[in-house]
Amino acid sequence: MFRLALKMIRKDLKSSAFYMIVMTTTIAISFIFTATSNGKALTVDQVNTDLKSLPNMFAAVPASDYLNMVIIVFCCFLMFYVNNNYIYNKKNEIAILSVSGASTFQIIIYFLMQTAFLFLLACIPGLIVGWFGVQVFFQFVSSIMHTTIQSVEGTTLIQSFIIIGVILVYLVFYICAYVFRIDVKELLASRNTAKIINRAPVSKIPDIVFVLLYVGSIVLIILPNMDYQNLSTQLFFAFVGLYGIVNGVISKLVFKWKFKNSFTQKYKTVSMSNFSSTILTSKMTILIMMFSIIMMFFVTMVYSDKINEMILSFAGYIIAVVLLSMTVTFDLSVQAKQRAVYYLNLWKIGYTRKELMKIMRYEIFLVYTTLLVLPLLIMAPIGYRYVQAGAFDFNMCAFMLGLFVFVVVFTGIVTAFTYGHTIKKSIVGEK
Amino acid sequence: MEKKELLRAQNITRVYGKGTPNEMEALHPTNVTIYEGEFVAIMGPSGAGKSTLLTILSTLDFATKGGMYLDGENAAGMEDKYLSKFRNENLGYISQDLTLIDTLTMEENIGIPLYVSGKSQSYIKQKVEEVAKLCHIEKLLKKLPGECSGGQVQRATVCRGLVNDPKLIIADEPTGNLDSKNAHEVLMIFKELNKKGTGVVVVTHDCQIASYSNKTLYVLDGNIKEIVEKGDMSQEEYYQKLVELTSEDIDEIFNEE
Repeated sequence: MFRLALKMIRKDLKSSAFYMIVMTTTIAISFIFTATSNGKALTVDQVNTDLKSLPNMFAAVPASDYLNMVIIVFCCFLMFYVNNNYIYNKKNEIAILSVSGASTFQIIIYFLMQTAFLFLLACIPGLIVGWFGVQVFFQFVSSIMHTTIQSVEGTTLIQSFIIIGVILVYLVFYICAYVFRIDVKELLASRNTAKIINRAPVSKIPDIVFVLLYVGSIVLIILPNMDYQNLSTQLFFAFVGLYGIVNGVISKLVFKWKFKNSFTQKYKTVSMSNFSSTILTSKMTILIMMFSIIMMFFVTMVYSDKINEMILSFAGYIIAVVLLSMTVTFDLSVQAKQRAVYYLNLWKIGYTRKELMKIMRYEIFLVYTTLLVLPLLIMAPIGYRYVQAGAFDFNMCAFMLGLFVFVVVFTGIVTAFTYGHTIKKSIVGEK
Repeated sequence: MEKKELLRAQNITRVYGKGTPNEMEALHPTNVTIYEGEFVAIMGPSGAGKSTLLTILSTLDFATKGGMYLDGENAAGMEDKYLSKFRNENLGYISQDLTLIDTLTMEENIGIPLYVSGKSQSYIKQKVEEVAKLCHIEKLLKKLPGECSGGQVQRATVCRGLVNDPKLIIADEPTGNLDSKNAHEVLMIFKELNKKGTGVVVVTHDCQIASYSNKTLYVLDGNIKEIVEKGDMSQEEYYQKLVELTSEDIDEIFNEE
């Protein structure tokens, strides 16, 4: 099995390289933030608190440590997600190994060996990139706080390794669960069938409730007589509303639209169907992205009076925006691959390449507009309240919102490019 | 001499989507026994439960109810490790859905079951060449699946199923991508191996393919509707008998008109 595992890494170089790049990024980011929380520049003074009660224990831990943990969780999420796709593309391999007599334990060991090997390879560039990242970040922090540049302590290296080790163990357990979850029969039956979901789950709560919660919470954030320092309740209801909208309201609206417009709108009917399907298929990724970005934005506002915490939460916001947008882009690219045959069939029944590109572009436009508008409608009012109260710098707020818009638009363009390339490739392949 | 029992399914049922509104019993209580050296065909229309029965017999899926016995021991109580070892040592699974790994050469693909059992490099090479010769793809061993035709890839999947010298070959539509000449060649390989004592279970829609077997189980709506034994019949007579059996469904269609 060891020979086969290594052989597969070498033979399947493209996906191995991609997996290794993600690991390198994760190691680098984890290293930067572990080093940052240990760096003296950002270490807050020891809190003299009686540690006998749980709330006091939590209070004794600096907020930057919690933020650091959140960022590591983002990295874990990215690893989890990429791993999911890595394994998904290896479904055929798992099925072949399984029918050839490999036990579940052997298959786990097979993947563990591949993961461990790529991890060791990724450690070297990951730590080098991380070390340089720490220098840049400390330089940035030092210039703001007017302190000297701190070097990375030896313990940081060990801690970073431990964190990545935890991620790896987690991945192995995940793979284990995944292999157990999939029975080979399903693998055999669905190997060539892309799972395209088109129906929203049935919910007992009427759609209007989610829309009202979403809109209502935005109104409550803006209202001047509401305390801007205590927006947690509004945010909670906004999240419930967002969940309902992404989980079902959008696809039901699309369904109603299609009922009225089918056969009259040649491109839009297909684009809208794809849009609804994309939202439903990627709802977990999309929701995690929206929730995390809004939360990190909010946390940055809340800690605006504590420079250490604010800098870390601001960095966390950037990581959330970039990493999660990348994840959504990656998710959509995977879906594009799954839809290649579908577009090929549309071409076979008479759609031109130009028309297919139009269909694809309209779908991407709808998806990314949703990704952009739904969180922005919550973040902008929060920013407005803090800026209006003089608790947060206007330029900083505009930069944060602008960064979000830029990254989403940029990743939208990248997705349109990769999606279009996949469609064109499938049609050329047929020729 | 009494034949040795290899697999026995006793009152097995398979329910999909249990506890959901889409619950469906794909296989009603069924009894099947496969002996060493038997050549059994499983026939029936689409959705009849043939593949469900096959995946349970090949220990890739478990029955919802009933017992599946391997060498007299119930598979439901067995550890995954033991079941996998049983598959590796005794079964050769061939399916047109389970094709080759694109990034490995034909040689490496065929050798996977031997890699799994930890055989030496030289042994794997020798066995792969042996089965490749049997399926006439010995000149393609260094090629990638993408560089070969659908029929050649299909033959390589057959080779992969044979490379571990299985006691029982389990094949789900093994000749789906092959023309009649190549299909005949593959089935003759099965027939030859069967003469030497290897058991064969084939799922097919095609009466011609089923006519190579010694016994046909006709599955309809999740039940074994009929068992046809070849006995002393010639292959042609046996084929005619199977055509008669399957034409009952076609008669129903004509009568509707």
